[in-house]
Amino acid sequence: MWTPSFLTRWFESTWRTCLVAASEALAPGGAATPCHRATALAPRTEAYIVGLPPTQSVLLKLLFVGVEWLTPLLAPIGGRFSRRTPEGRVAVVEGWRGSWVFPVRLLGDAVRATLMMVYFSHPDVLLALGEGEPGTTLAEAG
Amino acid sequence: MSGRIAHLADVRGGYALEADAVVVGSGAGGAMAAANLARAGMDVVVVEAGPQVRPDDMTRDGPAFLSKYYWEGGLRMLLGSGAYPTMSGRCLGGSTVVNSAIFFRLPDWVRQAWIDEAGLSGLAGPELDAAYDRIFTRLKVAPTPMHVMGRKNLVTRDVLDRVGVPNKPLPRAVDGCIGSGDCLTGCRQGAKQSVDRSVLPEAVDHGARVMTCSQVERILFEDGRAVGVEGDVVDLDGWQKVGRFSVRAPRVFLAAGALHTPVLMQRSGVRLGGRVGGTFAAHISGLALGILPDDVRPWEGATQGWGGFSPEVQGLKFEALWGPTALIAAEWGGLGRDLSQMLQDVRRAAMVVMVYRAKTKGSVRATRSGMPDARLWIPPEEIHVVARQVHKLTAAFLDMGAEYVFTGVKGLPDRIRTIDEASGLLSNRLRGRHMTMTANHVFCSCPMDARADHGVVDPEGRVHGVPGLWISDASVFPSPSAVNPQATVMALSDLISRRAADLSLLDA
Ligand SMILES: Cc1cc2nc3c(=O)[nH]c(=O)nc-3n(C[C@H](O)[C@H](O)[C@H](O)COP(=O)(O)OP(=O)(O)OC[C@H]3O[C@@H](n4cnc5c(N)ncnc54)[C@H](O)[C@@H]3O)c2cc1C
Ligand code: SF4
Repeated sequence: MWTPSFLTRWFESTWRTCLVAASEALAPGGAATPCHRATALAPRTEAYIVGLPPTQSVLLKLLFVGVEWLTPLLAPIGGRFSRRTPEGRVAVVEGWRGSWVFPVRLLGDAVRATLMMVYFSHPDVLLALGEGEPGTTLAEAG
Repeated sequence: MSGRIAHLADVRGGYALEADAVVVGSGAGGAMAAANLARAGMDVVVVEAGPQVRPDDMTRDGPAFLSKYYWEGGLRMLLGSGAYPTMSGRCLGGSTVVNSAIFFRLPDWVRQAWIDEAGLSGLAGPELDAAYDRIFTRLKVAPTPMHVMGRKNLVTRDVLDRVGVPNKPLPRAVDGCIGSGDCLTGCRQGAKQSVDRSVLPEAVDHGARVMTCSQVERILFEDGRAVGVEGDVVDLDGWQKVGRFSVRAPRVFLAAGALHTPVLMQRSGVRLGGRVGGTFAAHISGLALGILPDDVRPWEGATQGWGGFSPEVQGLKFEALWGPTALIAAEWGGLGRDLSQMLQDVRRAAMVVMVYRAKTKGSVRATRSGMPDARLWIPPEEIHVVARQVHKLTAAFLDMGAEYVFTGVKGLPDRIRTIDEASGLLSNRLRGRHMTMTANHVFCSCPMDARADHGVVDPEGRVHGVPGLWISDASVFPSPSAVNPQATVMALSDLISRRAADLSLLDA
């Protein structure tokens, strides 16, 4: 069962599952806040990760696999990351970010940073901030 | 002789060239060396790992730009006493394409330290000043004008006034800046005087051939003398190999930056008893981001237009900064339901950052894939220096009515609303691993020293004991510059390549 092709398929599906679960939870949207769906957060992050140099790409995939499977170890009540409620997933990431254990904190910071970076580069988000408005440059603003 | 820039389509499949001099890397140091050597009449080939970035290729989409034009997709880390992002440009013009164009001369006290500690008596004379003069004129260095400041730079002015730091507009190498705030993803306006626009064209006019997408793997030697370089032609993304190349030349100038130059030397068997990459340094940093009562629109205005030097801590400098919002948000901000709040807060945000010439220890080693593995250890007392300044900035922001301040320091609230909540910044238990910092000023991995058994290059940039090999980039700094390094990288490279050109003319 644990053939190389099975492992590859398992690895590829695990990081993608975790990425989708993290996107849903971290960017749920709100009144004036574009949500993960409107910003295509999961597919855009996936494209970003796949487009990185090979080493960085593998590291980020490993990060999401790690998040999925370390969650039951590091935050015991509630199962794997993608099986938790969106609020539970946010609590896991926030908990890790506040941890005094450096590698755990890195895990939380890295998931957050990856998704936020991609989220905040979507044109709708920039528009929601006011960045996309005419007069963006001082010269245009006169 | 007329030179040219060769792009991927021209070099795909590989090539073999001969020249009088080959320059590895087209950034601050490499461009300067190429221009001087070409002006002296040499047949020069520049090999650059990255592609040319044209204004149309520049996008405000931070992650997309970084993944293409920064080394390792912009995700490179210095490990050691923490994990610190360190970025450098992988494109024609190197990091000068993606930097904020701030230009400073080496402070006198650092210059004196280099003279005293590394035996660089040549730096005492007027040559270095003349080099700066030439560069500042050529790159049109001038204080940032008020009409492109934007409010974020003026907030920095007000914060620094409150903490008692003398401050003023930062001098930058720009011509026609409109204050778009996009410096870190390239200047679509063409205003920034990055060396691909300002210095390399001169090299090309004097016949230099500039080969992009050409990543050097190792230096070639014959009888102990450097005689050229060889490597892979790589695709635009930088990791598919699409050909091999070699350039044979009796003069090899390494200018691949402080992380890649020692790696190239190590991979070519030049270790000089562990001194190559055995030292390494970076300015360390800290930040305070305040959410003010009214709009700042921090994406407007010159990326870094205002700053000042600490009167109480030597070698500590404050600057305004706003990069692509996506990159700032990677460090700061709420998740889940808090995200909506953050979205409303961004337009009221302003950030003041520090760069500090701390006493650190570091090293650079080649990984098996040929990338640098760089380490940086920051002693706790230097972290405390930075944290105390962050505390002052936090207090100033709160005094100015900031709703909250974000410092990125672990163990503190993400939203500091009262100065009491910032008291952890005064704790002696803070360590490097608690700080959020980026280290983009990197140097000292192949230091210049008059003593052959201390440094890697001599005062003229020649690698000790290896004829035919020079280094002319940030690697050669004997110690950190205490100011933004580009001007000094260019000035040293100017001196090194002028001297080399004269020597070579005598040789001929
Ligand atoms: C985001 C950012 C902002 C900055 N802001 C400022 C600022 O405002 N003012 C300032 O003074 N300094 C600033 N700096 C630092 C400054 O840009 C650098 O100190 C300076 O460019 C270093 O010059 P260099 O020649 O050593 O390296 P670089 O300019 O980085 O050039 C090295 C070149 O070598 C190429 N290269 C590397 N390896 C190979 C290889 N194997 N084969 C072929 N080519 C190779 C690289 O692609 C690159 O083009 C900033 C840096 C960054 C990253
Ligand atoms: S602020 Fe904008 S216009 Fe000015 S130099 Fe930077 S990128 Fe160019």
